[in-house]
Amino acid sequence: MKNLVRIFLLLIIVGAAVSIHSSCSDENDCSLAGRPMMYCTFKTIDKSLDPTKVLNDTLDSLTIKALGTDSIILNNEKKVHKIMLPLRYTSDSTVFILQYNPVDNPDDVDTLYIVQQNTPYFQSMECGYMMKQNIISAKFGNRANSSEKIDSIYLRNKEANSNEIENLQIFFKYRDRTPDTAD
Amino acid sequence: MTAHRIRLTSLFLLFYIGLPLSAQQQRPTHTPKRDQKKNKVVEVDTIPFYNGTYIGVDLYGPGSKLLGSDFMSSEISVAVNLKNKFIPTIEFGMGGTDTWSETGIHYKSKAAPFFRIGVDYNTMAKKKEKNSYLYAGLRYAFSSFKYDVSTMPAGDPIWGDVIGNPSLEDNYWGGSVPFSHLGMKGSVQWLEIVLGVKVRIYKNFNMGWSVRMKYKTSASTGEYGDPWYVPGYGKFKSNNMGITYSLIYKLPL
Repeated sequence: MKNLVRIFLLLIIVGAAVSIHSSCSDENDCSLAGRPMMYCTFKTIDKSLDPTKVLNDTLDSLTIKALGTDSIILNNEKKVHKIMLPLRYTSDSTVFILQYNPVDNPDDVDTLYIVQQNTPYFQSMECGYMMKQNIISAKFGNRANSSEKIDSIYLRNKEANSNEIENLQIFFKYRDRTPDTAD
Repeated sequence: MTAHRIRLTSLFLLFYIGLPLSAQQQRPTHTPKRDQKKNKVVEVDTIPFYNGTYIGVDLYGPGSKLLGSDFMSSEISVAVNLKNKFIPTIEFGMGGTDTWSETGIHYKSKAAPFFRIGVDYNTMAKKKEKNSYLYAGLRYAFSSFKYDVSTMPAGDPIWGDVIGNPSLEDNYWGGSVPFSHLGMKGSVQWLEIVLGVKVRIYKNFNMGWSVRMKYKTSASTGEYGDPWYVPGYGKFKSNNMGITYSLIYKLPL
């Protein structure tokens, strides 16, 4: 009987300790609560040399603006190979303006049209909501005299994410500018 | 007469001398091991197969609600003691919540049932005291439930603007979409490792504590959100810890 009382007390102490420990270490993994982004990389193909070889491309300077907001998403960034773009929460399409020479020639632009599906998702009381965004289509528009030209877009992964998983490969027309290493 | 006396004394002497000798000569009666085992088996067999049925009511769930917990949960358990060693157990309970977060999220889950089935192992089966023991056990559990999640839109009474969901605003374009999804369906299955103690208080009345580690094995959730509270499991995490404090009555059967 004495042993039982001892065990009973021990269990109460262990239980209390574990519950205190678990309530203190009640960490909430809110890593998914961040805004998902559309990750894009720039590519090109030198068709005269090898039409099957995909090369990494780097733009000398780039500014990205979006229709419907004054926010500048990318401001005169140099040597750009990879970008991440937010997609609009309250509309099912997002339009980006890519300025290749924002200082000297602001009209030197291409346009990127994204159609996406937005699904608001409740995570938990602690982490709140997140927006699940799936890219349905990606199209582009060239301006007649732009210095760079988007040639095609390859949609690799539909789900906008916060893990830097590539969504789009944007292929530019090949120009004689030393590209980076091959894939 | 004297000859008769001498004969008697010599007989006594013979007896006294002979007895220890015969005792020394007597081989120790060694019982073979097989027989010993048999004896032990016979001992165990004295414990009947059926040792009683326990009905328990958990007080920890209602108690923690009274002390300010967000969750309301209560459960009953039925256990059968077999050989005072194995205790198959069924637990049934109801759990629900109706909570507002600091950021204005309203989560409501009406009381929904949960079930657990498993077995406990009495670690003190051989002790004389049969009604109080420390046990370890396993449970398989599941629950199916509905839940509502909504956020009140925040309105500006002067400019007339309405922010649909202040918890999910677009920080580039501005604006947000109202969120109100009612009646989402969820179901969760999990396993529990139980460590507990049961102590007899008075006659057929017992009480018991148990500490449980709960591990989620599978879950299905609604299209627009995870459940936040799972009846019988707690918060919707990969694992959880739970405690029960039960009053247990041993049926006089």
